[in-house]
Amino acid sequence: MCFFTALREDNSEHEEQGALVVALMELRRATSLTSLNIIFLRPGGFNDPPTSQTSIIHSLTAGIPSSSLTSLSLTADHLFSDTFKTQAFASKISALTCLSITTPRSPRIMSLRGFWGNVVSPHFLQPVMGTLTCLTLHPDFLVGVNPGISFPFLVFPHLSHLSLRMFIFEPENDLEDFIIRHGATLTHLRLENCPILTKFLDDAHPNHSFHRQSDIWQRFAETLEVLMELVVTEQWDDRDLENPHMRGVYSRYMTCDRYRHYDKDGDVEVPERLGEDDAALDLFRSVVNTRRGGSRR
Amino acid sequence: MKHNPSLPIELLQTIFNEVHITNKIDLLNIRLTSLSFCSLVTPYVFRTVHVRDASTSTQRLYSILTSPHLVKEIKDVFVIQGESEGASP
Repeated sequence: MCFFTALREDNSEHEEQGALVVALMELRRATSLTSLNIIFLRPGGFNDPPTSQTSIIHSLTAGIPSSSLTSLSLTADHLFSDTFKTQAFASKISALTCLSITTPRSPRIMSLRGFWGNVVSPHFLQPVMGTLTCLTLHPDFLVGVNPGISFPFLVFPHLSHLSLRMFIFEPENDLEDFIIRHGATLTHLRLENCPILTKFLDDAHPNHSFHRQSDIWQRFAETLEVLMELVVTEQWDDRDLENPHMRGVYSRYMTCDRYRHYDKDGDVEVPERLGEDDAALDLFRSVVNTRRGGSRR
Repeated sequence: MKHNPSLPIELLQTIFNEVHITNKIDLLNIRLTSLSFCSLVTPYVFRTVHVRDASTSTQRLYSILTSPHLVKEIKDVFVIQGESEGASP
């Protein structure tokens, strides 16, 4: 491709981007708008200037009628964290009842780690704690403490549907208690590939007590009193076997080193233990099934 | 609003809602058949709008947003950056 052709295509792309930004500003006229779905899946988009996403989000923020939005879905394989760190964005999502954030597997995992670690909790979850009923959080790498979400600070009084993928149960992130804390309202729970941290490989965390998965299922069965639908899956994509970032996550029990690298805990993950876990899950499932027929693994 | 008296509006709306889910192109064709069908089908056609970072898609969105009788039907918007352009709205 010659220089002038490339330049022309580059200009054309910028013009399309500008036209999109102008059009999105006109969303202010859509007074019945309640649901917004943002999809950033751009091959090679990691080389996009941050202004590309930022200008789209800013024009959406400016264009959406105030407090009309009740549902927001964000799917992206690359994200610029600063895009969402505005008060205007927080105010436009303040009435959300449903929030879904999905980041498919991506070679540019660092941008997504920053997003999940620094943006999701303060800029998506905390502004909507009073209204949210449905929450879906699906990263495609393990999210625990770093990167992680501070579940101790999150309370959603009306949460009825919760779907989590690749969140790791750790003593420090309070995930187990976060779920139990919503036992009075939670009717639907989906956990996909959510392993458990069994031990730290350094000496910095000597006092933590680690649960087995069977303990967690038993606690959930006792405390999630209105749960009607339960889905628990442990299915891994064969493509991840080739991905160095996914190394070691094909297991239920994990260790963690001082650099927050997770790996399989072969000492704990033994057939007897896995059998106890499965039995506890079956018992949990049967408790849920007594309220409503059917759940699946 | 006139409508075909042989079928009640509620039944037509149920049918159009089903078509809306399965095939939006059919819905657009139904919208062209008569004024009464146009009135009935328009809310289903413009309830969900997709826009991509491509000029034709953006122009369509702009046209809908600046049309007073269409913009009020929009409830759900998809903003897609990166996928190839497909059927819109």
